[in-house]
Amino acid sequence: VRLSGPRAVAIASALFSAAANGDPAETGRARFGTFRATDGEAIDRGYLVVFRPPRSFTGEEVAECWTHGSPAVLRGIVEAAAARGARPAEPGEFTWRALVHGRIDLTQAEGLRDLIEARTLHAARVAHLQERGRLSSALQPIKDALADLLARAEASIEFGEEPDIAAASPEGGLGPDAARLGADLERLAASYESGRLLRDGARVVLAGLPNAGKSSLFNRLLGEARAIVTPLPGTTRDVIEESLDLQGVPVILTDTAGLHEAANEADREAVERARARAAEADLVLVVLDWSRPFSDADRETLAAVPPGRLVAVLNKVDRPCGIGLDRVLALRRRPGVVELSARTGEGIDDLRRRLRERLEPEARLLPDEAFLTSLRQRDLAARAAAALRRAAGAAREGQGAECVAIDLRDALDALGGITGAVDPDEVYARIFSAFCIGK
Amino acid sequence: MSPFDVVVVGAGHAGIEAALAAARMGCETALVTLDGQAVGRMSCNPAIGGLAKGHLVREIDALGGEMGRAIDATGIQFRLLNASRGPAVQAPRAQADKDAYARRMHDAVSGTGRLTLVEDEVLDLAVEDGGLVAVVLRRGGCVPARAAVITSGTFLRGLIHIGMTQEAGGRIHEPAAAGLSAALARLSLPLGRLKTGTPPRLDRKSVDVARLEPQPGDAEPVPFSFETERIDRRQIHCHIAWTNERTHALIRGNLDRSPLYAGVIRSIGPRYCPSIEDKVVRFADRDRHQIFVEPEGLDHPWLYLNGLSTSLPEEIQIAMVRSLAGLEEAVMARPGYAVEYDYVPPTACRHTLETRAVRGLFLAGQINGTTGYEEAASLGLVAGINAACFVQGRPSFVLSRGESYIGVLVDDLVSKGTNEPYRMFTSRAECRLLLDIESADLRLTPKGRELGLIGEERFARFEGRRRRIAAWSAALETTPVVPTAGVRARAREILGIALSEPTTPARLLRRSDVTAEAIGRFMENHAGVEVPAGLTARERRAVADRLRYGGYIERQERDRERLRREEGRRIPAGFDFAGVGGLSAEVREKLGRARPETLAEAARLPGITPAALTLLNIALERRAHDRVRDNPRHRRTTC
Repeated sequence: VRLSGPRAVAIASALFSAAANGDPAETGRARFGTFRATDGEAIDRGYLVVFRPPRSFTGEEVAECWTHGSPAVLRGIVEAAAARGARPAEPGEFTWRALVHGRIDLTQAEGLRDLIEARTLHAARVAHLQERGRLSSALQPIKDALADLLARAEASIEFGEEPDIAAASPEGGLGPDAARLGADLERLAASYESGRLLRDGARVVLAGLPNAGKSSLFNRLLGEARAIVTPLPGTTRDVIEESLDLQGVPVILTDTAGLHEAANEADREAVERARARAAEADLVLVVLDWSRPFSDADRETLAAVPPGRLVAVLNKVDRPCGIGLDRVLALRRRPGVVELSARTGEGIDDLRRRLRERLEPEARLLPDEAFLTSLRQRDLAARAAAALRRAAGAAREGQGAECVAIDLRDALDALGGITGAVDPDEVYARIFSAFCIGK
Repeated sequence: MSPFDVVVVGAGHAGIEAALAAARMGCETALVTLDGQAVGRMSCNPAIGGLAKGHLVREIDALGGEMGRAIDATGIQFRLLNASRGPAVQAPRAQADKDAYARRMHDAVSGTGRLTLVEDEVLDLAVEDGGLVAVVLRRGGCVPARAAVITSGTFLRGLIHIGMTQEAGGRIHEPAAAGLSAALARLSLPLGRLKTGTPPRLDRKSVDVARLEPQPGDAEPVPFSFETERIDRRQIHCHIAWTNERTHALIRGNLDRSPLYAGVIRSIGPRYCPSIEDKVVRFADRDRHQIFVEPEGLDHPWLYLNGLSTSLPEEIQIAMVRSLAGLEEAVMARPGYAVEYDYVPPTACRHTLETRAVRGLFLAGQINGTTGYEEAASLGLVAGINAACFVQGRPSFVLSRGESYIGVLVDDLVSKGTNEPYRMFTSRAECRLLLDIESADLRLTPKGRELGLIGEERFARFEGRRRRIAAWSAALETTPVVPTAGVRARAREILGIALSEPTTPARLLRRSDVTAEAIGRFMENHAGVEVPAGLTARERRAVADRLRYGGYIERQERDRERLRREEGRRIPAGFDFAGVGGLSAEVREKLGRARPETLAEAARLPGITPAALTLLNIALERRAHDRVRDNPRHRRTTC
């Protein structure tokens, strides 16, 4: 994650606690430490590297956060930075800034092509979204209501002495109406989180004892050999992620080192990371070995996952049963278990069906419901909501309509960043269609 | 005729300001009008000002224009609009004695050196190598001129409608200007058509206003000009009448004889000056509409029916007027009418109001697509100043959106264009709170001085006011008010409030129950406070009013900075488009020919791709960046 701008280092340092003493903001030196969310919870460990102008990519102050590259970690850091005052970059903005500050030669066709492509790509994405119409149909009523509020404030200012306006006193109730709209927008801003499932995919994590066959199952689900599979336990040290299309439901499948007790220092970190993943997953596949006896560690792993997010898998059914028939019957009865063999592929379709059933209710809700698809949109919606809260406060304190209008205009501008700007003439059109004005 | 530096065509509200400004800046100036007795004639309502418009007049005055002083000298009823609202949205409006106003303007024109009033008609414009060289008059022949300002009002191919009959004319019974439209078209200026209207006038003797509801003016008139100390002229009342169901039935029954509804007029009129036909049709649920009965002067024989603009046939107009309670016996002195006229879509002009097509040719007023005397006068002033700057080789005069309504007006017009008559509203300004009427001189008078439009004496008076305001502002913002026993007692006694924490007078002013006067009295005996000598009650109020807005002012100041930065995306004159890397030869040529002033303008040019714009923007930003970096003073502050 790269931050650029005058407060880049300040913001990045605030997210970062260095493992060793020393100034984390020292230029050009990679410092190891932990990146933390605003509530102080660790997101990931990694390196913070600081570059000072003019010797940085953009020519501005730049802070780079080097972390593990999973979407969840990246999102966490971006959100934490945004919470401290950073703004998600527009597509191609870093290249843009680099160009403006003369860090990239104008004639360097490559960079320029990136930039221009990024812009059209962005346009295409936005167009696609508009075409689907879902977001804009949810935003349109809010924008309409907001433009009406502004029209009321402006009508009372510009034409307060017109009998038609004086009779209607359109300023009345401006505050409560602004507060209501603000609440609507806050809900919409919150939908960014629920929209995540379709946007980024459901997070499905493989857990279980070393060598239960998690990586084999991972590969089988993906249909390619991505994870390293060896007969040695604990081969998967780091977290491996792949995305997978489960008949229309996007899934981020994560293979972990397992949730077992670590044997050494290096292991401990991998296991910790696996546990963190399991904690934030939408579903956890606990993989049990059919061919070996059920252990206390297995029991602990099962118990560690809340039933609502648990899918138990009995792997290696192509081998003789070692786990015991009673155990199998119990598993079949309680959490519900999928029996399969990652090696032969037997039962894999059952697992796919089961995963889809479990994820679908959440995913299916979404196509009809509006949700914000990017952090940028959430930012803008939250900004509009905050401006409306201020407008409501100003009206409550008895500030004049000209002051309330500043906040309403801010809200409309922020919303305009998602839906397209609102022309001032549109506000006048509303006034003139609602009130008989003019001499 | 001997050559002129600047020829101004049309002696309406735009033409007067243009001609006076050019002459006062030292240009030999001609003011050409069809009728030498029609200087400063009010074609429509006998009033100046109103919300946003009153703001414009204050700015015109602050820059050394004439309109504010003229209305102060000839106004017969003054009202401060929105007096109960915040200071930023208050503005003066005044009824004018319209003949006295026109006389006052005629005197100003004839009393100004280097300014010649010429009664003639402009037939053609002579252009060589893309620059204006002469103006061709009907009687005076070819008059060499280095610059011309066209302020044609409603006269360009003006067509007057009353009922189903039409007649060529700029105002009723005044001939239209026909030749000029052809000349503009030949110079490849685009032409569009707009419409406006005016209500019937009544014979004053035929109306017993005592039967109508009176509408008095303010007891203490607030003048328009910073130079006016008080209003001396006798003040009068206006009156209010109401339409009724009978009036509405008459209108509905005769819509087929209204040129607007019968489809004869297709041009767009101003939404905020709807005809009575429009009001009755569009707001069918309203059972009455308010009509102001306004005298056209102290002794003028006519009354103006504000709110009854119409183009219905004369006999319907008479019946309509007589259906109003109190006007049963009214005699119509002149019917209302609609007028269609040519305008040049304002995107054809630069921010200086010079046309892109012809060097030295400026357009101002209704020809820019605006409505209103005040908008016209503002544009006339801007065009006149820039014509003089052009002739004298001085840098052009462009106001920012963040510092003036005039800046908003010009920028809206030339960068967005308009397809209906454009009227100023306070909400068109992003920084409305900073553009209040009391700060117009602080914002603009130094610029007027620089241009040579503000005399030494006036500037000295202004400097005194500015100093007093700054000192009093600083005193209110920085003087600590510590709640000692004595201070608490005085706060209770003078301000009527209980003081518990240390504060400043500025903070106390944010309370709605603390008045400017009370703070003044409270401060007078306060330790370490010196009230600036000569501080007037008006200045005291202005300072307090601004402080009352508190944090909103700071927010608006940030908005102003943002606007200034955006305006910095202007493409500097003489910018080398050929030096922008990566542009195709075709795009380079197009830009070189059109010479857009801003990125937004460049974007509107046909054939300019987003990629080309991106490249242009980068080149501009790098240019700005290099300038800052190369300036050693800046280098020190940025590193």
